[in-house]
Formats: sequence, structure tokens, C-alpha cells
Amino acid sequence: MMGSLLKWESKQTLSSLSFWIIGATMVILPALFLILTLKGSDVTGYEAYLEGLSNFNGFMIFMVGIFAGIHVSGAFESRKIQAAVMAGNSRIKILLAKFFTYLASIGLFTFIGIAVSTAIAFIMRGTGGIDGTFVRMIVARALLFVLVETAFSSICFLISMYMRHQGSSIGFNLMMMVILSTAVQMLIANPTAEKIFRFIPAGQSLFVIGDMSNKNILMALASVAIFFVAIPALSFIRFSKEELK
Amino acid sequence: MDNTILKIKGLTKKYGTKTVLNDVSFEVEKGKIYGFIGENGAGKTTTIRAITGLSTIDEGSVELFGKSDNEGLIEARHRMGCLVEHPILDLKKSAKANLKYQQLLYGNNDPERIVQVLERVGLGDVKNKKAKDFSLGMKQRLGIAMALINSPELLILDEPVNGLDPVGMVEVRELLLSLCRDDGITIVISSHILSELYQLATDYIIISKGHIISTLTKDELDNVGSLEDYYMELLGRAA
Repeated sequence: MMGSLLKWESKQTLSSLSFWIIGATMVILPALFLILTLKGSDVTGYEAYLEGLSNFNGFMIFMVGIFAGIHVSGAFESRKIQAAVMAGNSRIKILLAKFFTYLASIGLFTFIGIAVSTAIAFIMRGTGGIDGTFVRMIVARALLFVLVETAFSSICFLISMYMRHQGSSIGFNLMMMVILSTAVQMLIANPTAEKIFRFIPAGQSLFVIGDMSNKNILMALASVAIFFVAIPALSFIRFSKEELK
Repeated sequence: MDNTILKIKGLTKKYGTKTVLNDVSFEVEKGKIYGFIGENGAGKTTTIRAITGLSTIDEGSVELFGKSDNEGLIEARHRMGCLVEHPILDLKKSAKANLKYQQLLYGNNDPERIVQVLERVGLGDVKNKKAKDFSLGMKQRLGIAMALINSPELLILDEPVNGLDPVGMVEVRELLLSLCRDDGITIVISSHILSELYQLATDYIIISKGHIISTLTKDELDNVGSLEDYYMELLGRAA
């Protein structure tokens, strides 16, 4: 039945206009912003690639909050989750199917967005300036960035699992993402704060851009793993006993 | 052989300090149509929500097709179809598409069954029409189709004729009678429209202020008098 639930979730997600609009926005806007930035600068291709990652992070903060509100809170509002419960599906499987499709969607948007930005960076500025191997500094960093951003976005999933009104969920998601990102940027220079931020995706979304040491790669992967387990677990605390309207 | 497919024992549910269901017990036997009667706020929907898994219970048990543990109940709900409060439809999709998505929730993919069910509820000619263009009666029938898609043995309908005009009510009544008579589906239908339930049900479960105040068959009711008079007398006694 988990396979059917995943199929049900996937079909619904792919048939929703919001998925395509948000996905396109997450690909197009960072790319356009990068092109505009590069027109007025003479950075190397590698620097442009890193700029692209940084730009993406900035746009993602806003878009994932909207997507989570629609994908999660919207599903409760439209009673689709209730339909799944009444059809004899366990709440944990419903939650996991919702979580997996959410992560897959954000992961896909991020992957395509980064791929497009990277292509723009190297087409406009060449592949010069890489301080290491191409595989590690470009490919591995991009893949790690996708994982970290996807894990970072899961905060919005958790928030939306606790909020049943779609509009409020979107608003709160946006607020939390902005607060988190701002807090990380303001406190990152503090040694104690830095140690904590190394183990949360919000922090790693900045660290990964500048630090591809083995140690940081492991810490980034650990932060992703922690969130991929913690977020559905915390979500289930509410959902398992919730009165569904 | 035990014909009981649904057993509610001592069901109690509280919201804060307010007790909305108090020691509710009744049984549903196969092949009958049960009218679940009660005034607004009596506890009909709360009981149905407990059976369908939308709501947790504080005390008591729900036994569905012989299963009362959590996993057993989840599995047993595959054999049940529900329409609670109003149909859960994607208005932007066609009737056929809505049923296709509903089938996925049961782990099925049977296009023939979709066509069959739509014909059964009288929506065969409009299967490709978007649900947003349906009348209220058609939406209710589509909701019943969604509940029928997995060939259930038990159908639970919460106020399915609310808001329907007389023609719509007759259409739904005829459909439900046919589902029980021809397909052998057991039906539990909650409503406060007594005249409709009298024409539909073979048995009655009467609830008021969270208590079951009476259960009786249609034959027993006919010995007593009209459903309306009996119900009003019960409410007078219960108050």
C-alpha cells in the first residue's frame, strides 16, 4: 500500500499547477539573477558557480514556504489526507508518502535550478578558477548542496504539518525561513554558534558553498540525516492522534 | 455464522470537559440498512468519525469485520466505503479522474470498475465532465461512487441527502435501496430527515446527547407508530 500511496501523492503533485509554477520560478529566477549579476562583473566561472549556489539559497527560502503550505496544509484543507485515512491507510504511511514527495519535489527543483545556474556560469565565464578537482568542487558540491537545501526546506514541512490553514501556513513558513537564515548569517562568526550551525542544514547551506573539506562534508551529511529522521518523527507526534475534520 | 460486521462497545469521546459520546454501543448486521438518527449535535458524526479513523476514542472499542486492534481496523477499512459530511472531490478534475485517484488509495487500478461504478450511480454520461460543473445532487452521487469504488461490503454515509432537492433525495434513496438489495451492501446512513430514513432503513439506531436511546427494527417501529412520533417521545423521555 505504500507504493500506491506514493503513486497517489506523486500523481497529485505532478498534476498541480503550483508544483510547475514554483518549480519554474525556482529555476528561472536564480538563473536570471545570475545572468544580470555576471553582466556587470568579471568573476571566474567557478566564482560564478558559487554565486549561483548562493543566489539559489536566497530564492529557495521564499518558494519552499509557499510549496509546503500548498502541498501539506492544502492537503488537509481539501481533506485529501482524510480520504486517505478513511480508505484504510495508516497515518504513518500517509505521512511518509507526503514527506517523500515533498522532498523529491524540492530536490528536483534544486537539482534543476543548480544545473541551470552552473551551466550559465560556465558558459558565460568558462571553467577556470576551480580550486580543486571538478568532480569534488563542482559535482560533489552541487549534489551536497541539493541534499542540504532539501533538508533545510523540510522545516517548512514540519511547520505546515502543525498548521491547518494554508494561508497561515505559508505566512509562517516564510517568516521562519527568513528568521532562520538571518540568524545564521548574523551569528555565523560566533565560534559556539558556528559549531551548532555545522550540524543543521540552515547553517550548512552557507558552509557548503565555502567549505568542501572531508570534515564538513561529513557534518553536512549528518545534518541532512538528522533532519530527514527528525522532521517526520516530530510531524507524527501531532498527526498520529490528530482529530481530522 | 456471526452476521455482525460492525460492533461499537462503550464508545466514549470527550472534547475537553464536554462529553460528546457516552458509552455508545450498537451492532450492525450484514445486509441491512441502518438509519442512524439524532438531532444536530447528538453525536452521529462523531461516532462515524471514530469508525472511519478520523477521530480517536477515549474509551470503548470499534470492531469492524471482526478486527478491533489498530492495524486490524486499518486493514478492515478497505472493506468499507464512506461519505463523511460532504464528498471529497477535486473539482478541477473529471468524475472519472476523481475515481481513478480514489482507487489508488486502495492500491487498485481498474478502469473498468470506474466505468461500472459511474454507470451504477447514474453518472455514466458525464464521466469526463469536471466535478465543478456538477449539481449538488450529482456531486453527492459522485461522492457515493467514490465510496463504492473498492466494492465495499459496508457503506457509511453521513447526512448524504443534506441540501438536496426532493428529486435528488429520491435519486439517492433509490440508489441506496438498490445497492443493498442487488449488491448486498450493508449501509449505515445518518440523518435527521426522518421521512427519508423511514422509506430507506430496515433498522434504526437513535442517539441523543451522546447516548444511544433506542435501537429497533422497522417491524418493531411499525408496531409502535410513526418514526417521528416515536422519536419525539424518546426525546421527551431522554430530556
